[in-house]
Amino acid sequence: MSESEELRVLFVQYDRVHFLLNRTQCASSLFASEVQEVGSRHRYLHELLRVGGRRLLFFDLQLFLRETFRARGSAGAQLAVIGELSGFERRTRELFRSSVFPRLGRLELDTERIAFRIPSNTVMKSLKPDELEPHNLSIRRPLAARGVLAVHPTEESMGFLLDLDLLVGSRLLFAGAGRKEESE
Amino acid sequence: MDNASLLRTLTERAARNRVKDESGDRSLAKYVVFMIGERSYALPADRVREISFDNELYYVPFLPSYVRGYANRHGQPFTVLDLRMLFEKSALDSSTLLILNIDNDQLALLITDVDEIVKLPAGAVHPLASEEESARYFAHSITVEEREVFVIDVGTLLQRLERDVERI
Repeated sequence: MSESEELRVLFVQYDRVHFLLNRTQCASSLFASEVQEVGSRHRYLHELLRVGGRRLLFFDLQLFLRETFRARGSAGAQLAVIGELSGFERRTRELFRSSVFPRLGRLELDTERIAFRIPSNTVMKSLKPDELEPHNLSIRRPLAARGVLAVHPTEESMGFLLDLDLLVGSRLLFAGAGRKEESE
Repeated sequence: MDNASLLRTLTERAARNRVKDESGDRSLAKYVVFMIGERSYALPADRVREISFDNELYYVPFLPSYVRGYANRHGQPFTVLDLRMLFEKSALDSSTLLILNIDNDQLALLITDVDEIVKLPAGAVHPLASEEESARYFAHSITVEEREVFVIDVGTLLQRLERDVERI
């Protein structure tokens, strides 16, 4: 990608912080109207989303962002963004194929797509790559490894470019039900 | 402190600094002395890029507790280190930053306030004899108005950060 090329992102706004999801990882988005609660030991994975007669794993990205980044003040979380596993890294696809889906076989899940709950005030925006900054060198590695790829400083808030593939691939979204990823 | 007292303090300090400046001693070393809570620390002046007040701090996860997050300085993210958290396990409540001047990274220290900028002769710089754990973060100490002030070793601080981040 050249510096002049535009990056299409989903822009998720909270009070003093915002998050960017690369459009290339988001096959579609829709209102999360048909949601089914399932018993789960995972804090951010306890729902299924019904889309076109199929049932998708529905990760609560909204809760994850609130707890992990101490984000506050978003609208309700009635939107879902759909990611296609075929577009994710092989390691992530393997995690779902060999570990996640077999354990949940009784639920007859869509094994091609997963969904993420996001706030309703999410909008689509275009950015120039030079609006983003890499993380500072001394702290770059642990952030990038967990899917927090870059920073988007604006006058009003600080933004983080997130990688959905790495967020699930690093198992952050499979945290246990009894604990938060980050304590307040 | 009322404004009259403040003005007097500033005037007296300026007079002191003028005397130091006029001494013409090329061997003087310049330090920025600052407060973190009740404690005074110093940095060589060439390690300090600027002092910045009223900064918003943005929390960043997955990092050691003494990394308080990012500050946004003119569109550039600066990693903010809280030395009180590192030394005493107690978070500093402040929005004042001392922006460091270092190669290849953008770091700032969370401080309470800047005390003064001093020029000192070589005789006012002392090696450290302390055996304390935190002493390894100090290069040496200086004497400022009969107080001993520890000079932070930014290199050691960076090594500690790199080591802690590597373990995450």
